Amino acid sequence: MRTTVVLAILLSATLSRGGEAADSGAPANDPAVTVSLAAPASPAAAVSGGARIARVTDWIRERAPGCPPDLMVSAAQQFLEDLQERHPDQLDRLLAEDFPVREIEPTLLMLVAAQLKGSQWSGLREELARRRVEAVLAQEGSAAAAASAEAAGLMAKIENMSQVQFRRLLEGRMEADDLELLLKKARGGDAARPKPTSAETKTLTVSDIVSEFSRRNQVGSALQRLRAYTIEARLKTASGNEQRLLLFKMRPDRFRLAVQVDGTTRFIVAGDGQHFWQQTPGQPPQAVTADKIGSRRYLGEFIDPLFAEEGVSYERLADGSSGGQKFYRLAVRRSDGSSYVAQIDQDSFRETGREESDGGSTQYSDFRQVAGVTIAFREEATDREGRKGVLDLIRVTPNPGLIQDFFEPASQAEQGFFAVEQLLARASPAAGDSKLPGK
Amino acid sequence: MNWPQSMTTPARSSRRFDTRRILKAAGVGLVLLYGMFVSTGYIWLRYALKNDRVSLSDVAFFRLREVRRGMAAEQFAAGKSAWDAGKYQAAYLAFISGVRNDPDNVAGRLMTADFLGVASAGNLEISLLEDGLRRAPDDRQLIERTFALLTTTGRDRRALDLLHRQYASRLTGPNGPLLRTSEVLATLNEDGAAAAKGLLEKYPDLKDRSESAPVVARVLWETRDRLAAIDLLAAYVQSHPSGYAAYAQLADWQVAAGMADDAVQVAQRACAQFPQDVAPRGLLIQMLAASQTFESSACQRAIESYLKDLGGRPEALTMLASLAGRQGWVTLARTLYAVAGSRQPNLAVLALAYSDALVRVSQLSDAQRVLTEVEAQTDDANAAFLRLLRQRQVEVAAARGDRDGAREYARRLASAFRSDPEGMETLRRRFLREGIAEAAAELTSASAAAKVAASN
Repeated sequence: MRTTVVLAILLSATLSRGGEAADSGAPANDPAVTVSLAAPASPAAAVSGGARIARVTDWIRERAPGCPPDLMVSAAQQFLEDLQERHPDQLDRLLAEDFPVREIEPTLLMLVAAQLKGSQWSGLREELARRRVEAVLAQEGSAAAAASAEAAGLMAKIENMSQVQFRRLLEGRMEADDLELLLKKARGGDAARPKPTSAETKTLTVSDIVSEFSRRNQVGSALQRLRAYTIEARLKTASGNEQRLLLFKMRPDRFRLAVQVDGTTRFIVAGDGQHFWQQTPGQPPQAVTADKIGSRRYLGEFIDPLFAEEGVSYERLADGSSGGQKFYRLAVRRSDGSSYVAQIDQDSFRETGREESDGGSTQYSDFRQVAGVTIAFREEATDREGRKGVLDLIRVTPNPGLIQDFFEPASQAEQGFFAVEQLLARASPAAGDSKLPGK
Repeated sequence: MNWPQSMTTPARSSRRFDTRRILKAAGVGLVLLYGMFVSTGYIWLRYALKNDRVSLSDVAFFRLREVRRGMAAEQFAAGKSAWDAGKYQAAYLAFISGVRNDPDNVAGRLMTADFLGVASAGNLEISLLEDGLRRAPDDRQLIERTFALLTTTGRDRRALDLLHRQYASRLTGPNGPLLRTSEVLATLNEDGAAAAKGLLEKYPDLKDRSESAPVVARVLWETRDRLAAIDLLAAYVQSHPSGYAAYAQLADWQVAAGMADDAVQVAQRACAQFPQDVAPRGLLIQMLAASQTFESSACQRAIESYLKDLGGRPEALTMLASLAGRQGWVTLARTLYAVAGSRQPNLAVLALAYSDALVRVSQLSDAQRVLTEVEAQTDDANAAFLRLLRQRQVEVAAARGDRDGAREYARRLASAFRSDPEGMETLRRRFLREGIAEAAAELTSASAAAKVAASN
């Protein structure tokens, strides 16, 4: 089937990118409403109480004596709300004498800086940013004097490297993970160094490139927090047909792809890396062998193999270029012997393309960083005969509550699936005959 | 000193003239200032704050109360619009500002309470209503709403405290029957049927008051006078057909008393009475399954028409899945989960319904696995969902005989209830009733700590 071949090319290449998930701009779902309401609906009193606010305000006063008292209180409230949300266990210990103030010092300074709006506070903001860097260095074990000197140097480097990042740091808009990365970068002098020449880039080993890809395409360890995700996408095939695709993925290797046309499901294919099944309306699920399922089996790869998956080996090939932009070329070999060539942009370390072993290719664009991970929201695939298909991601939802049973065939239930879907589409002239799921 | 008259008279005259001029100038200045103040204030209120109801005379005569009322009316209207548009943050700000500007506007306060209830901000909703009662203790709507909320969310002790503290002298007043009915209900929930029955005997007039019938019927039901309870509630449904809760209660009792066919009729009447609502249709499915079987053609047809008629509504699948979970209809719960996958981004609530169904048919290890999978995908910041999840984890662990697991999950559950000691207390009692003593004990200590924290 042509459709599924194109799908396989597009999806196996694209959707297994290990994207952390996100909404591409569609309205947030219910929990987001809850969260957005939670801010005003949870007065600081709910989490704090006077004693805690007073305690935190004291800490702020010690560290930022020039900060106006009302802003100190606001920062303290913000801190307590954050603490309750992220480390509720620490909230109880807040008033204890042995509370590890040093550990929370960078966060505290960031929140204070975020309260300081207006140019009159620029000096204080800079001072707080320097102290924050100093506190991070001190946490890493630097002696106070050394930390102070190093902090000043690093601040200058950051300013030199990127005005945007420097401003984010000053304005208290840079989270701890980002700051950690930035400091690492500043220490390494990556950005301060002139752009590497092609001679220099050749010195990067394949593991350097893979490691850098993994580091550059997620913030901190964002991928570790991703247990499952769903992708809603629109596929335009070479023949001009348009389909809605829903891909559900769950660690370690579960996947379920539903192809919909006009709001109803026409085809389901699913599996767990070893066993696969597919189903069409009116038919029970049918087991499919790994051979028959072809490249669609790679939909089971939870994340892009470039994120240093086990059982995958890499080899650096001759670099390539396209439109004046140079890219690394890595041969990615899976444990089953299949392979493809990944094209990695030399500047951004984004995977901008793939060369499939059957002669097809895919180009990735519209990169968006969502929930800490960079993913491509647009893929253009060309098969070996030159036919093109375009996949646009509409929405990616992280950790949506997927369960293992969803990826397993259940004949009776799945028969009911199509019947229920037809009823919901209100396009069921034979609704009375439809076989609903049993108990 | 005696100055020549020729010298003093013009000087005195000039001073008088100057004083008059100064007074006149000051008067004109004040009038101008007043005019500027009034016009600026009016322009500010009318155009900057977009308060269409403010008039020039309100500002000119410093009718601040009127001005604030006008502003509040605008804010309530803006809140409603934002709410309808799904802009919860804007709605919240508008509603709260409206209440602040016109705290005596009962209708606005009730609308704000409605909004907070829908937004799951239960504690704020209660505070808002209690504050309203302090301002308007005799407002019937406020009384009804506040006590209904308290007695349906496990805050019966708080309801009784409020009744005994604020309404002790009003129990015999115009709102006396309403207040006494609330007292009986809160006592029934808090202290049990015997205490409620004793109280009801002190208030014999309630037995003849039709508005009190649901509460009186509940006391009868709880004291094992079941047929009398059913008769009384059936009569109430007949005379007060517009309240859905009584239909559901009556049908449940009828099924429990072996009158499932009658329950089906009650559910059918509810469907006819509330044709656009999801809940009565769910009730009918439930009663048909009880009266016949889930597989019966009548029940299957009811499910089909539910999906056809209501399936386009966002809550329809979740509500049916929830019913399937409570009834143990595993396959239906699983199917609805799969169908929802292509219709909504988050499936966690449907996964809970599926796990409920597995628990009902004693597939406990499968249920536990589902909950563990959902837990791995749950953000710790989502306290409302965590409560639902952890509660189930406690119950499944206890059902499997895993006491340590139940205790551990209860500890985590307590963390999700940290800012809601009353909610924690309600759950503690539930665990006690279910015989999960270790979980109840865990919540007891956590509840005490939470109360101390809240009072700091």
